[in-house]
Amino acid sequence: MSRETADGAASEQAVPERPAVEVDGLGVVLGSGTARTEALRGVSFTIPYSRSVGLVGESGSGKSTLAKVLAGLVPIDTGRVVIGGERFSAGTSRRRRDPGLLQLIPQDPFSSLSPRRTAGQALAEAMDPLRADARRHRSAIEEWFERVELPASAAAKYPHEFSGGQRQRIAIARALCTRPRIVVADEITSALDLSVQVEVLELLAQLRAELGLTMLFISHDLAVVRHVSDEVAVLRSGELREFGAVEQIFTAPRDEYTSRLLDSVPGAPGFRIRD
Amino acid sequence: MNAITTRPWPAFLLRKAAELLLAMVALVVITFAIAHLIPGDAARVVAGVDATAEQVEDTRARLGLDRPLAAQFWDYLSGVLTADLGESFRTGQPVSEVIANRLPFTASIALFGIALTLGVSLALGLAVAGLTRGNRNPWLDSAFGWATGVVLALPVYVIGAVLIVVFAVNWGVLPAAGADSLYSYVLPTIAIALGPIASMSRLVRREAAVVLEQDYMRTARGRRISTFRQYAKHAVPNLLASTLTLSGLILAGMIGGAIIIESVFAWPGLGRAVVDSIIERDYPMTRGIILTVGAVAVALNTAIDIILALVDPRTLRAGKVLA
Amino acid sequence: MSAIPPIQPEEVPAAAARRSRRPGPMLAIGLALMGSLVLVAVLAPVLLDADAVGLTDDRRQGASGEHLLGTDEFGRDLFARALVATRLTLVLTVSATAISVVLGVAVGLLVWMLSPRVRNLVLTANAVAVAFPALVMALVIAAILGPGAMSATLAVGIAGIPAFVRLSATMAAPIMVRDYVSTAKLLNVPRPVILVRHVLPNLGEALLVLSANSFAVTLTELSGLSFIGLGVQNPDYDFGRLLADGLPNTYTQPIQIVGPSVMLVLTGVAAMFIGDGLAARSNPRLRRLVRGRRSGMLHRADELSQEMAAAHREQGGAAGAAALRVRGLKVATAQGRELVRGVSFDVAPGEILGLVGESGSGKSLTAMSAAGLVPDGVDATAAEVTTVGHDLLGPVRSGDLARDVALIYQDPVSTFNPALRLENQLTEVARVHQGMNRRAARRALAAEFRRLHISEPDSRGRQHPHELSGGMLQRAMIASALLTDAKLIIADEPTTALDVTVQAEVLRQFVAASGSLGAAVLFISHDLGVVEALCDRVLVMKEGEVVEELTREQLARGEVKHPYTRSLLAAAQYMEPSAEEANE
Repeated sequence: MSRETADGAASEQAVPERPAVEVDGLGVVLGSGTARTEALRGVSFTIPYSRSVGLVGESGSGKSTLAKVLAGLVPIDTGRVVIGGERFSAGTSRRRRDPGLLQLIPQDPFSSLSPRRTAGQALAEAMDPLRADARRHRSAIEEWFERVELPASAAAKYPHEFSGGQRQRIAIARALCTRPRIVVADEITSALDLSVQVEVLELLAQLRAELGLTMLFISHDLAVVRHVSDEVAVLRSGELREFGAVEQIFTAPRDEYTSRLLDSVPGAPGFRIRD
Repeated sequence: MNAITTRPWPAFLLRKAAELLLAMVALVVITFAIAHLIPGDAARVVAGVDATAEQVEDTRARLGLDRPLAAQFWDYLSGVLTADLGESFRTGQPVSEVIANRLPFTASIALFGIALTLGVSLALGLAVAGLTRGNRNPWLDSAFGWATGVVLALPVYVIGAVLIVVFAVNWGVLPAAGADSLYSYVLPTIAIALGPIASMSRLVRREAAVVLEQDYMRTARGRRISTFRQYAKHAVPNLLASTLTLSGLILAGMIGGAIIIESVFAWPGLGRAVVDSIIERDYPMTRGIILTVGAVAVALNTAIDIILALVDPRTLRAGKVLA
Repeated sequence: MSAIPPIQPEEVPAAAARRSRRPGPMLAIGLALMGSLVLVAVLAPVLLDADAVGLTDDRRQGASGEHLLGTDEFGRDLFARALVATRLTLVLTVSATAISVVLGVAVGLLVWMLSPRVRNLVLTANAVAVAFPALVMALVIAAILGPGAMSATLAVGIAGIPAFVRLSATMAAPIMVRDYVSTAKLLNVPRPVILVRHVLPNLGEALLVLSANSFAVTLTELSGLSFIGLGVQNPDYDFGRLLADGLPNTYTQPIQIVGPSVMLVLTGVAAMFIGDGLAARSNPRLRRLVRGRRSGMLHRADELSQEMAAAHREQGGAAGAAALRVRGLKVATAQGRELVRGVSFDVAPGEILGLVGESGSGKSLTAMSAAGLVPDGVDATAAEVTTVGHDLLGPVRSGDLARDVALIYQDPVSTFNPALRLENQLTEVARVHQGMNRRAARRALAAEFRRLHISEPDSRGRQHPHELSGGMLQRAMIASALLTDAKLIIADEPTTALDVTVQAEVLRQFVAASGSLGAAVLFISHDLGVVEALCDRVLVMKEGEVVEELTREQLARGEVKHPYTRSLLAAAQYMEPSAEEANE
């Protein structure tokens, strides 16, 4: 995957020195007064280019907060985050970001698209934030629809005319069409039926191979994460419990919580509910 | 990540007290500012178009407008805190005395009206919602909508006038003016309550329909308890919570209704007094009455908030302004 | 969450098209009425002015052919006056409404460009302003500017701004946290553009309705000000002014108030009907559905007579008292769409039967109907539904039924009544149907809490649902089932909304508890893994039908016959290659 740098010369990313994403001692506090909670505490890990990291955690683990921090929607309190070479820390975390840096695919297929704008307009907004004219970018839009296996006629339809799985495809297209360096997928399969989940995951795997995506895939579902990740991070109550290669995590977890998590998945060898 | 406060009430009451104080301060400042925001020369406006220069200066001195602004405000503020609201320009009577005489009349009408409105609206709205649930009795739904729609469109003074014509003039059963007996309360109370009843019973009906759709009502049904118990014990508490939040506007508006209805029924309350004072440019009177009425309205809203918190403990922690 | 599946995507455009072509009766009447009023406003002053202001000698006349509403003390025609006043009234009301709406919405949306702290400050101050009666605020402005039509219009218009600020800010709030807005922020779309492109269109319909209602209220307030003397001044006149003129004559010539009263009412009604009509259109739930039979009930199937049904039961009775017997259950919407097509099954005492399917399979509807709890909007019929000796198609003794059949629902947060304390709701069946007194019930509940490992069991009951986590709430619901010694527990996806580790724990306790009770369980889920670990037998449902029945062993060994079950299993295994690894 090549990108043009500011001085107009194309540069290959065959041997990157820095990882795509570096999270270093990240701490985030949410709420105020009596409702203050430490959503994240001392979290550190990296995502190399063209690799996919799966982030697993249950509710209250802080995984959504982490996604929002990367997207710049939640401010950093301690530590720092480096995305594509750009540093963000407390005080600078809210500054304007280059949309080409990082894009987010949201969880809820029903609220990720504005009900009053067509699918084509949704993509147009990503390509051209200010004017968002679907007609201007029609060919690019159609190309992307093809990539996510939707018909070109989808561009003129409204979100309510699509199924949940189809809306996720549109959301994926919208996130990827700006060619961001990093993609964060926030629980994108959680609200879908099992068979539809499989379809979306297979699409994502395909796109990953095709575009050499760098991805952070967030989910509460271990099985899903296993499919799409090279490395896995396990989060609990705001702390990173374990980080390692996907196979190691699943076959020889080092942390006690990770083991418990694995044993709780129905169908796993350690899953026992009858004595 | 469940950070639950174990003692939410002190913080809540503190917040309410702060809001009350803020509102009162705003009221004092606004009422003070009335005389100062008049376009042109306030003293001349009050004294009249054909007053001599001497009379204008005299008025200016009486209004206190010749003193520095801060001193004027301090005079006013200290007066408010000691319940001294100045004297009427027209009669020289102390404003607080006039208000003390007239406030009970306005307040009593408003209170009766509010009680009537709450009682009838809750019963009517809940009944209609229950009877039309699941698209039963669709005719009732239409009839209710049309009837309340028409009543809502009737201004309070029209209702008052019609009531007078029917009950006082034609049938001669109830008094049309003055506040002499308990019977005098009947027509004005009905007049100011009718519109809010229509408005609030619609609100109750809408909220009740939402409440009845909730999962916890299905849970209650699953416990096979009587319909009455389902409604009374499970629906009403939630209904009160959502209704009270929105009813504040309606109920506070009844104060406005009470003020207007006094012109129709020659009711010796604050309404007529404040209107006359505005026409006559009797600023101390205007200021004093608006301050009082505003204070009552804000106090009423605070009371509603507290009742709401008693009914639905979740609102205790909602520091946000947006519901 | 309703068990009724949402409308399929392809149906919505048709419904939308139907909607936009036919305005409801309310909207039509409102528009027609307002149209006529506008016509009157335009034409009346041109045609009737002479009659309206001309002083004649026909004073205080009653209604007649020449003067439809009589004349006033100056000999002016009252009917003409009422009609001519329309223009001034409408112009002033529209202006005041415009001030309120435009400025209110502008501020309400612009606060969303501020930082949260400043925004909260502004909105708190605004809330205080909203608390003031609009009339009082109008009086303040009238006091400053003096009486007059202009000042009254400004007064009412400005007094209406805080309400619209609050309304638009509140309505914009959920939109601002929607994912499509977050995405737009990520794309660096400037805030003002976000507000115009995303927020405003989604508010449009609601704002229109509110504006129509605001028009009606403004009309009343403005005319009210004129009525008490602070608005339109002589020689101009609007409806309020005319009323003020007429009121002193109520005893001698009551007809004087008829004209302005009727006009006021008509104008207000027109605005209200437009508002309501628009509101009805934008909310499809409010539209009339086909009037079918009274929905939400479980009926005996028409094809079977009472005798045949009894014969059915006889046969079943011989096979041993099943905890639940369902024969030929059909559930359909009022329009006739079939959601469950003739399902039959048994649950033996002490058995755990799983009902598995994806969304739209009808599994929840089947379970709920089997419990006799058919949701509104659908119709259920069956040849037989008997549970623990109760025939649900006939009259039931609700007390016994509530005791014998316990229900556990999917979403713990919405299943509990937020306004009631836990022990109040959870002991309801025990207290109401089994006559347990409050203290005994409280102790019994605490004991069950302890059994299910809920922390602080003695004081939990006094708490409200929002103080507990999802896992604890589900355990509390199970505790409630244990309290009544239920013989059949129907659990509708009880652990779907829970975290994985919590789910495992809750399932463990559920198995233990129902085992000790000896209760039969009907367990609904979409997760094959859970069902395989938990259930003795499994029924697979697809689009309203049972397509396969399996035992646990068969499922574990993968001995499935139906292609749909096969595809479900394949999808599950796609997710868990550990199964393959285990087979290496």
